[in-house]
Parts: sequence; structure tokens; C-alpha cells
Amino acid sequence: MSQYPRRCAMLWNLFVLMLLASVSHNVYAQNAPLKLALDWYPNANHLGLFIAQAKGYFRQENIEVTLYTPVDPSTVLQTVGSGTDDFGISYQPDVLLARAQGVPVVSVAGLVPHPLNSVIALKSSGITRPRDLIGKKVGYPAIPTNEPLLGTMLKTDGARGLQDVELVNVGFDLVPALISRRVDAVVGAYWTHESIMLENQGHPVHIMRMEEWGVPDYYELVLVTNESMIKSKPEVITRFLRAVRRGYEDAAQDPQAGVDILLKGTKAEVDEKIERPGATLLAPLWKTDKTPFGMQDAAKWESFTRWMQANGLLASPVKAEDAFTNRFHSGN
Amino acid sequence: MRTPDLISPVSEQPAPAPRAAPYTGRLRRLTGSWMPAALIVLVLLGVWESYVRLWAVPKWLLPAPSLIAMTLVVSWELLLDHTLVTLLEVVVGFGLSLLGGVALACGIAASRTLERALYPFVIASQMVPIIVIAPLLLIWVGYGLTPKVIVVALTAFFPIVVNMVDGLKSVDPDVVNLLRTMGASRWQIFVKVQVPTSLPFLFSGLRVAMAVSVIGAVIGEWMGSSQGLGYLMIRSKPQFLTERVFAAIVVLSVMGVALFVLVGVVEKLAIPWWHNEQRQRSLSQEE
Amino acid sequence: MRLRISTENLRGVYYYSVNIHGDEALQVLEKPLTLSLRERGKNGSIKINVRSAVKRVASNAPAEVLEDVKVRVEGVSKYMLQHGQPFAVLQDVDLYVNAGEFVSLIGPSGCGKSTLLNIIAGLDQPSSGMLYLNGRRAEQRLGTVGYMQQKDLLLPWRSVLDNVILGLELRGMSRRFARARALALMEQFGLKDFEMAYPYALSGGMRQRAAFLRTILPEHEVFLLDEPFGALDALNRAQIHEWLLGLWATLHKTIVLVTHDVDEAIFLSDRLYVMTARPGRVQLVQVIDLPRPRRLEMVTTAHFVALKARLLAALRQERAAEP
Repeated sequence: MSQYPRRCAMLWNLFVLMLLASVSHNVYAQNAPLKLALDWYPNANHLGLFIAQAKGYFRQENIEVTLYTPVDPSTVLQTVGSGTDDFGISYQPDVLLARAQGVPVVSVAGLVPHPLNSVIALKSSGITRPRDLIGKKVGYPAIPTNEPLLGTMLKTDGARGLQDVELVNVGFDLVPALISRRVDAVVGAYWTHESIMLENQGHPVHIMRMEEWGVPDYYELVLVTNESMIKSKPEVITRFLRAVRRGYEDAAQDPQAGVDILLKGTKAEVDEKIERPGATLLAPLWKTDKTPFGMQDAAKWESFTRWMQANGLLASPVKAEDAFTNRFHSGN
Repeated sequence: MRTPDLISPVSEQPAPAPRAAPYTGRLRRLTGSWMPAALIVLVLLGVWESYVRLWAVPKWLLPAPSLIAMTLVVSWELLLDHTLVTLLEVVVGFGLSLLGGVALACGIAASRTLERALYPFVIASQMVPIIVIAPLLLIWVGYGLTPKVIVVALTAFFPIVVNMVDGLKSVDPDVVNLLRTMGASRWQIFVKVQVPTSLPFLFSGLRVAMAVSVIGAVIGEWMGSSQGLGYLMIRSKPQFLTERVFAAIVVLSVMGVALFVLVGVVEKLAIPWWHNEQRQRSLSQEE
Repeated sequence: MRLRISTENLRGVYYYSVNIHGDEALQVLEKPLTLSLRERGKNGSIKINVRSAVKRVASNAPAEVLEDVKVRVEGVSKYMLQHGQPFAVLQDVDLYVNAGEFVSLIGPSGCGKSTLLNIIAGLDQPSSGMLYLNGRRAEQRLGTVGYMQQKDLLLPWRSVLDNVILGLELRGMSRRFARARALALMEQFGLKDFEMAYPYALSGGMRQRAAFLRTILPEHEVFLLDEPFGALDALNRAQIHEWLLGLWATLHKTIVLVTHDVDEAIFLSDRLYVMTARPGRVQLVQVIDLPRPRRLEMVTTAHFVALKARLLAALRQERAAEP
């Protein structure tokens, strides 16, 4: 994603860590609203949450929820893990990384069941498959997981791996990097966001989806909470998830109405021209015929954990079944 | 008559106490000045360590100083590689800023027109947040070392120019008149009086510039880099390797302090008269 | 007007010529001579030239030239602007200084003494009137006279030696050469062993002497001294007066001294100008006919005291007249 102010907070974040260490031992008041840390500024991915908020689904479950974007969104798992936040939106790979380091976070619902992360290149570059990237420059944000993801895609398409491309850290400004031709393709870009940004600016793109090129299917966005919450307030989680599910079901039915609510409810920079098409692209992902929304596929967790292990990303072995739970999904 | 035993002959008088080795004196002076600060640091570290241990704070949240120290030792090669990159960015950027800043300052001090034309830009260079400029630089200039060097140069520029201009202007007009009566040309006055007068001011600015240069380098690296301590920090964070982040911070701090002290040392060598004069002035005030 | 031509410190034979209304008569000067002449107005000015000719006695001593009037200030006025209004700092000042003479200017503060020196030195230009140096009108006078200010203005980043050679250095002399020249004089100026020291290590008196050495090294003909000893205490000042006179006797330069101190002015100079308060104008010209070489004991003689009384009276009158 491409917003600048994220960076401002890195040092602030470290200071916050020290504060968190003390705060984590506070017992939060029973009646205080539940805090949910978003993974980024409000966007189409969060439609269900905002719908649930606006249509009173949380209230009907007798809970109050505060949705907010942390100053430094990369700390979501840390704030949830330490108890400062009750819930958070994060990414499946990050949850596994965190658990490997002993952060006590657990995914309770999958919000986006497939990777949104993709490799994007301008149509004019003629790059249509990972093999075309050999010898070219690929830009990525400094998130380490992008490297093995790209590596797997390359290997699946017959290349040797990462050594065949030149990885350039372009920060989070993937779109300008691609448009200015400083890089030939970018990884770490969402096919529901950056691609729309590029097309809006008149640059048609070609998207290479992760799961089509050898990466095990995984959840892009998951809803996480911490183990102490699971232990002490399981029924709150159940009620919370019920409301969230209703919100996302509404979003799947009428995504554009959801965007209306998003625009009304947030003061932040919501770019309509990106979120409307984005919502349309996401809606099919939320439609679930068989299982209730948010129910997680154990196979996805297993296979992705194995993949991460095989790529040496996990500092210590992680048991996939510890990283997620479907316990809190009540039947319809 | 036998001399009583109580009175020892002169030759057996105890030798005068050996003069204290000069080193002890200097050593004492050196440690004396560092002791209070070192003590405070040790106390703080002790508090930190015990806090982490007593409350079992997880290491991904707040690592203990002992863990950070271990990381420093274990990952020293990694840290060294990245440190050298950041150091290079700082030194080159600082050097560019020094050359450009001094030249600009001389121009501004010499000509009213130049001052009116250029000074606002100097001020603007400080006001524009680096965080906004850095990503743009990456697009314009590329992703190598250059944008980081430019960021460093931009952050260091302002204090150098402002201080140097102040220094050049602070020349005693009586001295200038004196030289004029001796038939000095404008250039002679500039070289023989204005430049030496401005040096203490310049060094004052250099100290500030050095400190902000280090920060500038790190911010530049955050924006987009593949090497350097700042890069190491943003890479370690998503992996929850908080101890490595702290280790990088420690190294950065040490580097920053060392460079800062280095500027002070160069100052003492370049303008020894300034410190002597300051000392003299404070001594006479004490009288 | 009385003109005294002394042969005290001269060697060899000198001629002098008296030019009255264009007629020049050459005479041989063999002993001290006192000429009494009546001053004429501008149309019939009297010019006294004392020239030296080839010495009758062959000696290695360089022929010393006592030339004409070194500094001539004619009707100089200086106006400055304050709050947009012009006011006169100097008004029709007339003075002259002969070669080899020691002339003092005294007057109440603010009477423009320093301004006058600045004008002579070339830092400033007169608003009206003429200024002649060495008999010529010089628009660009900077660097032609030595000027010693009240503050020693020694450059703190240069050693004492490098400070005193500043004047020579500015004229293009190589540092090595200039240093050698200066070193030869350091002892005479009481600065031996302090050549490599820095100004901060020197006492007030030493700094003034260093500044003085700096002033005289370039060997100008004329020296302007603006209250150079003001910062020194009485004891140091007495010492430095004696030393200065001793030095001047060997250097034979023309000196114009500005001072507050009446005693100092009388003790040091041949002639003395008393200036009025602003706008500064010459109030009184006093010839100091105390014998040379001057001795400290003269300060208490009746003649000295009489001179002092006269001058103080003049100054008091001026102070009373101040607004």
C-alpha cells in the first residue's frame, strides 16, 4: 500500500513498546469498549466491520467496539499480543511469524480467504508470468515474507529462484516505483488496491496471483485476538464474531452500499475511486455457500505453515492448530 | 659517642614520596568526567533488566539489556556490514553538505543580493519534512546510495549554513576597519579575518549537523533501501526480532556519539585558540 | 608662528630653504635655529622646507629627510545623519602636523577626535574641506598611515608574532621575511619570549605594545594613535610613555595622538590641539616647549603645571559650553 505517514511512527513505535510492556499488565475495565486495531487505513477490506458498526450489530450483541488504525500498523500483533488491543486485523504469514517468536496471538476468523498480495507489472512491459522476471528488477516493500513468496513463484515457473531477479526495496510506494519504470514489476501489491490505483492512472497492468504460481493458498487478512482474551472472555469473542459475520454478509450482498457506509463513517482518506472497484472485487471472496463467514480452513493453515517452515521463515517450529481456532464461530 | 638509634642518620631518611605518575592525573580527569554519566547508564540498565525479568516481559515486546548485548555479540558481523553502509551515507552526505554549505554561506555573507535570494531556500530546506521528500527522492534519483546521501545532506545543510553565515557576520567591525587602514583588500579581510572568526560558529553548526545527519541517514533508509542500520531495523521488526532492532539502535547511538565527539576533537585541533580563550575568559570571570 | 628646527638627533649638514612669496633662499643649518614668522593668510602662505643635502661628512648613516608638512587638514567638516537630520561632527577643522612632530589632540568626548583620525586614515571622507598627506591630496589614503586604535584588536587565532606582522603581510611581504623583521624588535617592545604565545595569555600592557609594534612595522611616515593607552592603569601608562618617547626618538616618525589625558598629551607632544565639543573645531593650539628628551620628573615642574592649568581651563570652558 502506498500511504506515507506509516513511516513516521517507527521510533515512536519502539517507545510505545516500552509503554506497552507496562500497560499489558493492566486489567482493563469490563465496560470499556473493545479495541480493534486495523491493519491499515479504512478500506474495502474492512467493509464488514464498518457495516456492523453502523448498522448496530455490535450493539445488538451487547458489545461496543472501537475501530482504529494504529499510528504504526505493523505493531498490530504486538499490541494484540500484549493485551493493549483486544482484536486486530493482520496477515496469516505474520501470525505464524509472531507465534514462532512466542507472541500469544490466535486467529479467530479469516476475513479474506485468498492472497491479495500479488506480483504486478505494467501491461506495456510484456511481463505475463514469473519467468519473464528473470534478469529484471522487482520492487518490494521491506516486508521479509515477500521474498520467499516471489521465490516460490519463480521456482514454480522454472526459474532458479530469487537469484534470478534483482530485488529493490522501494518502501511502500509501489505504484510510483512501477510507473516511473524504476522497477519492472512489484511484489507486495494488492490486486484489489494497487492494481486499481495503477489502472486509474492510466496504466493497465498484468497481475500474477500467488496461489496460481505455486504458493499455497492462504488467508490474506485474518482477525486475531490474544490467548488471555480466549481464556477469560470466550463468549465476548463469540458475540463479536457473530456481529462481524453479519456485517460481511451484508457487504457481500451489496458492496457498494458498504462503501457508502465506509465513506460516511470514516474521516480518513478513503479514495472512492479505489474502494468502489475494490469492493466489487472483494465481494465474491466474502460469499461463502457452505461454511459461515470467517470459518477457517485447517488445510490452508497446515499447508502454509509447512511452506513457511520449508523456507526457513519460522524461528521456531509452530503448530498450525495453535495459530488459529474456529471455536468461536456459532452455527447459523 | 654513639648516635642514639632514634635519630637516624641523614642518609637513611625516608626517600621523598614518588611523584604521582602524570598518567594517573590525566586518567582521573578523563574518568572523572565520564563517571557520573556512566553510573546513570548502569543504573538505568539495571532497572530495565530487573523489570524485564521480574515481570517476565516477553522478548518480542521489550528485550532485556542482557539479550540485546548478546545479540550485539552474536550478530556483530551482520551489524558491522550494515553499520558501514549507514556510516558511508552519513560521511558522504555530511561532507557534501559541508562543502556546499560553506560555499553558500560565504556567498550569502558576501552579497546582500545573494542573501535575499538564497536564504529563504536555506530555511525551506529545513522546514520541508524529510519523510515527505525521501520517497520522492527515491523516485527521482533511484534506489541506490544516492538518495540517502541526499537526505543526509539536506538535513545537515541548514545548521551548517546558518551557523557559518552568523560566524562570518559576527566579525568585529573594528577589526575590519583596522585592516582597512592597513590597506587590506576585501579578499584579504575575508580570508584573514572573516574565515577564522567564523570557525567556532561553523564547528558549532557541524556538531548539530552531525547529530541530525545520523538521523537523516536512518530515515532515508526507512524509505527504501536494502542495506544499512535503518533497513535492518525495519526488516527485523516484522520478524518480531525486537532485540535486533534494539541492537541496531545501540550501534546507531554509539556511532552518532562517536561522530559527534570526533567533530569536537577536530575542532580542538583546528581552533585551539578558541578553547584557550574560552578557558581564559572563564578563569578571569572566576577571579 | 614659531618654528623650531633642531639638529639634536641629526648627523651631517642640512640645508633649509625659506620660501616667502615664491622666493626661495637656501641656507645652511649648522645649529639649532628658531625662526619667528608671522602667519599670513591663504594668499601669502609661508612654506618652510627643510631639505637635507649630501652630507659634508661622509658617514654611513642614511640621509634623513625632514620633509614638508606631513598632514594638513584644511577646513574639514564632517556631517552625519541622525534620524534623518544632518548634524556636524566636525566643523572647519584646521590643523597641520610637521614631519617628525608629535602632535596631540585633546577635547571632550564626542568632539569628533576619532572621526578626524578616521578621516586622515582614509576610513572616512570629509564632507567638505581638503586633506593633504605628504603634500598631496590623496583620495585613497587607506594603508598609507599607521593607525593604532583604542582596542588592541589582536587576532586571537594568531600568535603574537603573526599578529604584529599583519601590516607587512597585508602589503605582500612573505611571512618568513616579515617574521624575521618583527623578531628583531620583539625585545625592544618587551615581548621577548612571548613570540609564540597567543593574545589571551598577554597582559593589557603587553597587548598594547604588541598592537603598537604591529602599527609601526610597516614603516609608515605618519602614525595616528587613538587613545592607545586608555585601558592601562596609571603605573603602566607612565612606563609606556617613557618607552614610547624613547622609541619615537629613534624612529623619527610623525605622530598624531588623540587622548583624554591632559598629562599624557603635554608629556608626549610638541604641539597640542584642543578641540571644542561637537561640532568639533580647533579651539586652541598650544606649543609644548618642554625640553626633549622628556623626563617623568617634568610632570611636577611649574612650567608643566602652568601648561596643564591653561589647558584644563580651556577644556572646562568647553564643558560648560556643552548643552
